[in-house]
Amino acid sequence: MSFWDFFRRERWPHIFCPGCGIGMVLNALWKAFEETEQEPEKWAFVSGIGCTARAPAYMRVDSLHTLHGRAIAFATGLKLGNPELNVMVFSGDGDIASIGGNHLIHAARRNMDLKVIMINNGIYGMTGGQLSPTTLPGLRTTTTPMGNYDYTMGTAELVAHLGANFSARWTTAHIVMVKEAIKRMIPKEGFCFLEVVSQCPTNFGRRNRMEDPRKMLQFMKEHSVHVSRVGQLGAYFEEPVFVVGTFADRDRKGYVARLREAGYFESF
Amino acid sequence: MHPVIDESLCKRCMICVWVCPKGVFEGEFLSLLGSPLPEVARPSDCINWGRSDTPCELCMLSCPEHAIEYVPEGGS
Ligand SMILES: Cc1ncc(C[n+]2csc(CCOP(=O)(O)OP(=O)(O)O)c2C)c(N)n1
Ligand code: SF4
Ligand code: SF4
Repeated sequence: MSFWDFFRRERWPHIFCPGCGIGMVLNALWKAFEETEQEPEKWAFVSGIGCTARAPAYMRVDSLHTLHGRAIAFATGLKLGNPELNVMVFSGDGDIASIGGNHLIHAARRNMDLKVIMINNGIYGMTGGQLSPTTLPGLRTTTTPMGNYDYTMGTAELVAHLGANFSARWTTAHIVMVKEAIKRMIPKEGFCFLEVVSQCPTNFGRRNRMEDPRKMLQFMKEHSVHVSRVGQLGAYFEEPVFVVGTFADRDRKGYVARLREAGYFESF
Repeated sequence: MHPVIDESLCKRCMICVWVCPKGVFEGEFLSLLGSPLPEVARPSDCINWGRSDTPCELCMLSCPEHAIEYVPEGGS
């Protein structure tokens, strides 16, 4: 499967700004699908609202572009309606962790059979760069021009704690690890979550003296520490630091398998 | 194999220049509003040079526009 079998050449170039990390994750996604010989027809992609959430519109797959924050809720319905379908949610940090945070928590708790890729660019990109729960301390956004005073939300840690089968965080400066994490998620049942810290040069970099996307990549590379060095709750998050690595890799029974055992699908 | 850049797709972010461990690319970032096209200045320094496979795919995976692909030596 070539890149242009998976993405719609006629819709390229995409709308993402020069140097935006979303396109990098799209490469890793395609490569992971190619290396594991996935058939796009067996997948559906679900997204909410935001820059990241535009991505499924460029893929040659069935997709649902839903309400802001509700991607996981729609995806849950889709999976239970057609359990044979592989469902992946592809959306932003504002969409999944902020307005959609409650859906995330309970889908992870149920070990719902979904793959979720959350692109964490640290702000609300599409609406002009407001603070999000994943903004690092001290950094400037449109709504925190003096710097952010909040502590940061550790989304991947949260999902791991809730019992999901897979949870990891990498950054776009570790693009090969992003690909490997997606490959690890693909065959797994249960809730699989990947957070990719990514650069938004336009709305984040520009306000933090990192307009050059390479400066943001360098920043992410230099401020990453592996979870094996600091532990699961190693950094709650006084300084700008990205804990990267795999936080959970379990084989608990997924929601669909439990429903199937209970005879739920025969009752229709 | 070595990388080539599709001019019609490249948005001039220079991530390829940053990511390549061998310094194959050359380019200068001026601003988000536009920089000159980066060039594949030293294709023979590429890890994939002289091979038919591509063990290193960093620049292809890192180009947000998917403007980079690998072609056999001397191709364009
Ligand atoms: C219910 C609702 N509230 C607010 C908005 C406005 N809005 C659109 S996109 C967005 C934030 C998106 O941020 P994120 O999910 O991080 O995606 P990014 O653009 O950063 O990729 C917001 C608040 C909306 N569309 N709907
Ligand atoms: S605003 Fe930021 S997240 Fe949105 S496309 Fe531009 S660089 Fe990417
Ligand atoms: S990474 Fe891609 S879009 Fe960016 S400068 Fe290089 S070839 Fe152009």
